[in-house]
Amino acid sequence: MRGLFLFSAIFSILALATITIFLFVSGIPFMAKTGFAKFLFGSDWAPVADNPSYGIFPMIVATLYVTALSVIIGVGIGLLTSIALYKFCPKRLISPIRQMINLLAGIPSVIFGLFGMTIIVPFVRDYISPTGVGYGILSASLVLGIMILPTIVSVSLDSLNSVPSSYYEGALALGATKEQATFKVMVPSAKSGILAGVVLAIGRSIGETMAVIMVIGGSPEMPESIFQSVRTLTANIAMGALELQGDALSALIATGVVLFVFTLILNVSFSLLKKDKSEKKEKRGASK
Amino acid sequence: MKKFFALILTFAIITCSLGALTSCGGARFDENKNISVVTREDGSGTKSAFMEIIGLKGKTDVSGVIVASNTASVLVEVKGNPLAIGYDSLGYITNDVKMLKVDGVEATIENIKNGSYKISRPLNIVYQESTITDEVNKAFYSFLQSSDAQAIITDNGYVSTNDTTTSYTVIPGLTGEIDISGSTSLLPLMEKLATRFESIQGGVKITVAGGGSGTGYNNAKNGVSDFGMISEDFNPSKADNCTYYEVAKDGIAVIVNKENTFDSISLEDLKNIYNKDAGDSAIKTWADVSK
Amino acid sequence: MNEFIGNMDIIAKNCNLFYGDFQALKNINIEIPEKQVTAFIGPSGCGKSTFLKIFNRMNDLVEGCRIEGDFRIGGVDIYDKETDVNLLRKNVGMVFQKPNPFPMSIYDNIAFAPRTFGITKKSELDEIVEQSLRRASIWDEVKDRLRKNALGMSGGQQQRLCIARSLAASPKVLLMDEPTSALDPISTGKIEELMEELKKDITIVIVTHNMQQATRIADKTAFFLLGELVEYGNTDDIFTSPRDERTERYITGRFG
Repeated sequence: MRGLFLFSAIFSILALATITIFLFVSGIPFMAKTGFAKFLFGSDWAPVADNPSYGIFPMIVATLYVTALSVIIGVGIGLLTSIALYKFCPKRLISPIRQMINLLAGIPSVIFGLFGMTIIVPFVRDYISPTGVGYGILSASLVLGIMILPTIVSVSLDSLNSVPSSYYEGALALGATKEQATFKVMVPSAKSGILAGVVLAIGRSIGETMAVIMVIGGSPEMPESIFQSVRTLTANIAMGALELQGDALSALIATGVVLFVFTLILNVSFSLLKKDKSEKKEKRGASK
Repeated sequence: MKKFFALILTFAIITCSLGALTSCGGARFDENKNISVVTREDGSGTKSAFMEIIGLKGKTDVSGVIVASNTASVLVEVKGNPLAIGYDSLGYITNDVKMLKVDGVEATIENIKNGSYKISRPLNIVYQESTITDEVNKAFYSFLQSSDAQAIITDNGYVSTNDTTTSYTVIPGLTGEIDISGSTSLLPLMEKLATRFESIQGGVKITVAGGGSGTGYNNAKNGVSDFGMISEDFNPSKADNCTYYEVAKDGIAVIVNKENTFDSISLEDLKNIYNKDAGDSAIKTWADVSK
Repeated sequence: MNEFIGNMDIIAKNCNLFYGDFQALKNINIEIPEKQVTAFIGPSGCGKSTFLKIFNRMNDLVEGCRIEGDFRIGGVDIYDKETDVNLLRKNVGMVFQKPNPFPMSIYDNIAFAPRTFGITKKSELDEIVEQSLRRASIWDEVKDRLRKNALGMSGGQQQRLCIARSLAASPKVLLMDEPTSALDPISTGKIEELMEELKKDITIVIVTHNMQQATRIADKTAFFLLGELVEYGNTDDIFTSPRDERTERYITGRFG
């Protein structure tokens, strides 16, 4: 029986190791062959052209743009939502709203993609975009912004709730309004928790594939406007994975390596933030 | 339960209001605006066939192109975007979009068969010779060549290139399974053919899956599937142990939004729309397209 | 807008308070003189803290809490619709049982109230911060680490910081809800000294469990039992010759 437990524990480690090895063993040699700089900073992606070139820089930039904009949208709305749920909405509405937001988290990403493709893209195209193109960074960011809402709301609300209510009372007792007490005392006190939520959201945003493919447009070009068809790293992999072969396939795996490194950095910063938070809590506890 | 209804209601309201907002038009066709060029992803059979036919084989996509990852999303975009141009298998085109004549020739079955319509391509199956020594596979193979199959092909808007009048002879007591995968362009037709075959030969079960022409080659080559579907001329270097059979021909229609005032386009203009390196002859707006 | 000026005595008439169906305070009438220390004593659950919180309307935060009666501070009807509750709380400061400094720097803690009321000039804020910390006799201990996090201080220091934080709002009344119950005797002593000093300008009401503390610092004492105000008078009188038998039993330690 102990063997089984041990095996189960080792299994996930093995899976991680296998994926990592697979990515690096197939990806790194390809990068080396193409030239790391040419691969990472090259601006032409043409895997099936007569003279194939494999530059993913436009997609790295597009990924960063989409992620940043979606996080701005998601954090903006999400933080305000969690604050509303924290002190500013009738008590009996809190639970239904929270449940709805959690339901949002359970919707498969392809549904978000469908929603984006049939509602958001035409809306952006007809009413917002100056170029008449609906696909692109804005649409993708809107879809992703909605997708990361549940993460932001639940993590922010939890960290707000974990701030001692004596801070809130203390601020009110000094004559602060509810808004001042919330924004000047509670939110700053919950800062590290909220930040951890933001990092989680960035992770989700960077890694999301299906919904993004359906609204991003997919042209592997350097983004110059938020209304332009571009391609993210994830979209690049998914669009070609079933069709491409040979070097082009290796190029996708190498794209995967870059994505893997991105998410690794995010995970490490998330753990650091969490560590920071628990240390602060200890400090707070000790002073009582 | 109440919450559930509230949720549904909220969603419905949001969707309806957004839907109403988007469906009431907004943008109109304006030939001075940039063309929204819609294409498919690299590796798509339809794309490689289209690009090859208009003379852009192996070329990079024009800047600003919208890459649709399946045939349905090409239609969705062209249907909704007055400035869009796209292409798709003739068998997929619905009444929601408008087909353009190419060099004055309409994309019809007649014109594809007689070769006057330029943008057409074969829909092939690839297989290892050893595959059709199997009784079940052999039966299906001969069904594809029969007049029964040709009727289905024609009924569904594809072009039959086999003029046989011999119908399929049922083999009593035949049982087994057939696995087919590959090009999504051939997929819908193959599903219809398979369904028909299953109803004729009760004991046979056929699985038809997509994945694209690349998958078709690979699965046939590696023996994963009995037949691979490809929507381009058979390229022996992609599956050296295989041979092919042309199931039908498929025209690739050039499609635009219904509000578009054009009825026809030249192959040359089409090339200049999709060509990244067209230089001075590049076509960016509908006003540049020759009437 | 009602201003809090002039005589800052506190008057409560016919006060009843309910939590849902439960009546926590029963027909309380009291007049608390300005610039003195008044102590509320009584066993746990007698309603003294609840009564205290009426005067800065902290009970507003409690769901299902209903208050009847007439309450005036310096003549202002504090439950009047015209009364700005934030302005009331600025003028009627509160120190809580557990020190609750905000998790920010000592400076920012003190500057919180002035900033809330619109003071942004650094020189002005510096002035208020130093003044407040001096009045709470903690300036010398913290002047070199104003930018350090307030949570790094000892419990006694934290409580005096909280008093300083209240003082920075220049209140006319200071409500103290068992401010020393979580502190050691030395810190308690410091805070009691502080109150002697503060009552020169400020009306102080303190809830305490500690009867010695009441005798040491309070000019007047009110004894609460089961939501009623049993006896109210000069501290000396209450502790030496209580009129009510229940008061006597409590102060001699026979119940509660």
